[in-house]
Amino acid sequence: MKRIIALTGLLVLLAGLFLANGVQAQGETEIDVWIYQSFYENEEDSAIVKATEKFMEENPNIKVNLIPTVYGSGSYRDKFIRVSRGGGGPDVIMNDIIWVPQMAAMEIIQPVGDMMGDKKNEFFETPLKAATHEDKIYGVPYHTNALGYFYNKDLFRKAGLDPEDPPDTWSEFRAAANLITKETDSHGFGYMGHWGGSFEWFSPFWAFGANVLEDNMKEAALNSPQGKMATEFWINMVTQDGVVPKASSTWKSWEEIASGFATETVGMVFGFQNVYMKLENKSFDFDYGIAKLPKGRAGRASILGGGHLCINANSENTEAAYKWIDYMTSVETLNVFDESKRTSARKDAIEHQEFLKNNKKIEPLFESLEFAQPRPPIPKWTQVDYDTIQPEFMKILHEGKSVNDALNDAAKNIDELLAE
Amino acid sequence: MAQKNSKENALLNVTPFMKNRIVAVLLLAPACIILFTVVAYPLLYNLIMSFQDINLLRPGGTPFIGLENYKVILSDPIFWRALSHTAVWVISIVGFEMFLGVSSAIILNQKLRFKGAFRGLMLIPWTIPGVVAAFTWRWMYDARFGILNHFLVETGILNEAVAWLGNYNTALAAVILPQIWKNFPFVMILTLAALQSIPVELYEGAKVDGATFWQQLRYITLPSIKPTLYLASLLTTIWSFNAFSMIWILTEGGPAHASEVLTTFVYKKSFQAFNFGQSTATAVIMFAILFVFVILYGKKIFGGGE
Repeated sequence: MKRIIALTGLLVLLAGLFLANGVQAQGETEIDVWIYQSFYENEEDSAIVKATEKFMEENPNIKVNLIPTVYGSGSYRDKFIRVSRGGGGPDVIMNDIIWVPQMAAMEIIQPVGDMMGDKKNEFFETPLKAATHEDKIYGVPYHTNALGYFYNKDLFRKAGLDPEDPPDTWSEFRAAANLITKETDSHGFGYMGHWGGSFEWFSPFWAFGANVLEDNMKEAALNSPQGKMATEFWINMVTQDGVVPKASSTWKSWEEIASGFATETVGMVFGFQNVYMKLENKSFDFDYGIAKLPKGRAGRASILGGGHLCINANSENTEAAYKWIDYMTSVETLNVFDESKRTSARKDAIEHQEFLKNNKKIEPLFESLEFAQPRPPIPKWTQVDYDTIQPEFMKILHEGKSVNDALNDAAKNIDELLAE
Repeated sequence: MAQKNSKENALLNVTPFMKNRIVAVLLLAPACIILFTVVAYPLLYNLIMSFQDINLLRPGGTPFIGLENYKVILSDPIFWRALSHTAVWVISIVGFEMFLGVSSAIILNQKLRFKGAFRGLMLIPWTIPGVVAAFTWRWMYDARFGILNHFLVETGILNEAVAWLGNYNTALAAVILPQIWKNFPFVMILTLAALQSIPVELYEGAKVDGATFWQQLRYITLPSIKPTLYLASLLTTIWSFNAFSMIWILTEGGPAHASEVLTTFVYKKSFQAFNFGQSTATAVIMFAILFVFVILYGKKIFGGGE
C-alpha cells in the first residue's frame, strides 16, 4: 500500500512538473539575467528588481529572473566564459567594458547593433566604441564613468595649496604632490602599485599625446617620443620625487585606494565614481574634493570605465532579452543608477538622474566623460596589459630599467603578441 | 558413475565462483564508472587538449598541433621561473610543515597542563577558511597599518616598514609563511595520532636502560611514526604543489612574476591569455611531476620502504 501511495505521489509530481513546463513553453518566455551583486544591495527592494517587475507587468509573456553575481574576473567573467562555452549560461549579462571585445572575439555574445537602430544615438560615443568588435556593436552601454582624482582639502591647506583651485595641469599636480609629501605626514598620491601604477599612467600618457597602439590596433606605438616623455614624467614622480608611499606598492583594489585616502596615507588618489561610493561608507574627519584629471601638452585625458548589457550567443530568447535591455536603458529606469550611485551611459542622464543633478561633488567626473577614452578595445588587451606593459613597469620600478629600454621592449613584445 | 559425479562437482564448484565474479563486477561497476567519469575522463581530455590549438579568442576550430604547446611552454622563461618558484614553495612548505607539525605533536604528547586547550588553539589556523586567512595576512603585511611592520619597527629590528608583498625579494617568502602557518596543524594532528599508538612499554624499557630523550626520539619515536610521516609529507607535497588561493589573494604571482608558481601560471594562461592549449599542456607537465612524486612516495609507504 505504501509503495502504491509513494508511486502515485511521484507520478503526480512528475505530471505537475511536465504541465508547468508545458504552460511556460506555450505562453511565456523566460530569460535569465546576471547582474552585479552591487545592483542588488537592497535585495528584493532594489530598484533594478522593481523596474524589472514593472517590465514584466507591461510584458506579461516575458519572465525575467535576475541572478545577482559577485563581480570579478574569476567570479563573474570566467564563470560566464565557462558556462557559455559549454552551451549554456544566462540570456543576458551585465558586462565590464573591458571584457566585451574579448567575449565578442570568443563568439559567446551576440551583436546588438542592428537591434539598437537609432537608439545608438542616445548614448555617449565612447562606450559604444568600447563595445565594438570588427565593426559590430556587442553591448548596449549601461553604466559609465571616467577617472578623476580625489584630493584631501585639509591636507591641501596644510601644504599651502588652495583647496578650491586644485591642480589643473600635470606639472601643477606634481608640484602639489611634492608639497603634500614635504609639508604634511602624508604622501602626495597613491595608486594601484600591484600593477606597477600602469593603470593610472594612461591618463598622463594620453594627455601628453601618446598612444599604446597605432590606429590600426595591430602595432605598438607606446615607445613614441611623446610616450617616453610622458612615462619619464610619471615614473620620476614615483622614483625621484618619492611622492608615492611604499604601502601603495601592494594596492590592487579600489577598496585599498579608498582606504589609503580615508586614512590620510595619501593626499590624492585617482578614482572612478566607485571610489566616491566607497568613501561615502567610510568615516573620516576631513573634507575632500573631486577634480578632472589634469591637462597635458595634448589636452586632457581620462580612462573610460563602466559596463554594458550583452546577450549570450547561446540565448534562444534574443527578442525578449533585447526587450528587457531596451527597457533597462530607457529614461524610465534611470532611478536604478541613482540607487547604486552610478551614472547611466545615456547622454541625457544629467537631465534626469536625481543623483547627478543633486550632487555637485561628482560633477567633474561626469564632465570627464567628454574626454574619457577606453583602453584599446582589442580582444588581446588583457594580455597586452598584463604580459607586456605591467612587467616592464615593474622592471623600471624594481630593477632600475630605463624608461627608454622598457618601452622599446614592451613595444616589441606587443608587436609579437598581436602578430600571433 | 565416478566420472559423472566429478563433473557435477566441478559444475557445482565453478558456478558459484562465476556467480560471485559477476556479482563482484556488478557491484564494482558503478564505482568504476564514477571514477572513470570524474578522474580518468578529465585527465584524458586534458591530455588531448594539450595537443590542440585551443585559443578562445580564435574560435572556430581546435586543430591538432602535436607538441607545439609544449614547445611554446618550455621555451617560455616565465614557465621556468614559475617552476623554480614552485620548487622553493613546495620544499620550504613541506619542510617547515613537517618540522613544525612533528615538533608540536611531540610537545603536545608530553604530560602538560591544559594540553587539550593547547591542541585546540594549535588547530585554529587549519580551521580558518583559506580566503579569510589570506586576507588576514594581507592586512598583517600592510606597510602602513600592518601589525608585522609595526612590531618590527617598534622593536628596532627594522628601521622602516617594508612592503613585504610588493617587494621583489620578499614576495615569495611572504606568501610561503602564511601557507605554512595555515597547514602545519594537519601534520601535527596526524603525528599526534601516530604518537599515541606507540606502546608506553617501549619508552619505559628505554628509560630503564638509561636512554635520553633524544635517544628515545631517534630509536623509538621516529621509526614508529615513519609511515605516518611519509603519508603526511606526500599529502602536504600534493596540496602545496596544487595550492592556489593563498598565493592568488596575496600577490597573484607578482610583483612581476616574483611569486609566480605553476598554478598561477596555468590560471593566467587560461583566463588572461585564454590559451587553453598551453594551459592544459602546463597542467600535464604538472601532473607528470606530481606523478613521479606519488610513485616514489607510494613505494616508500606501501612497498615496505621502511
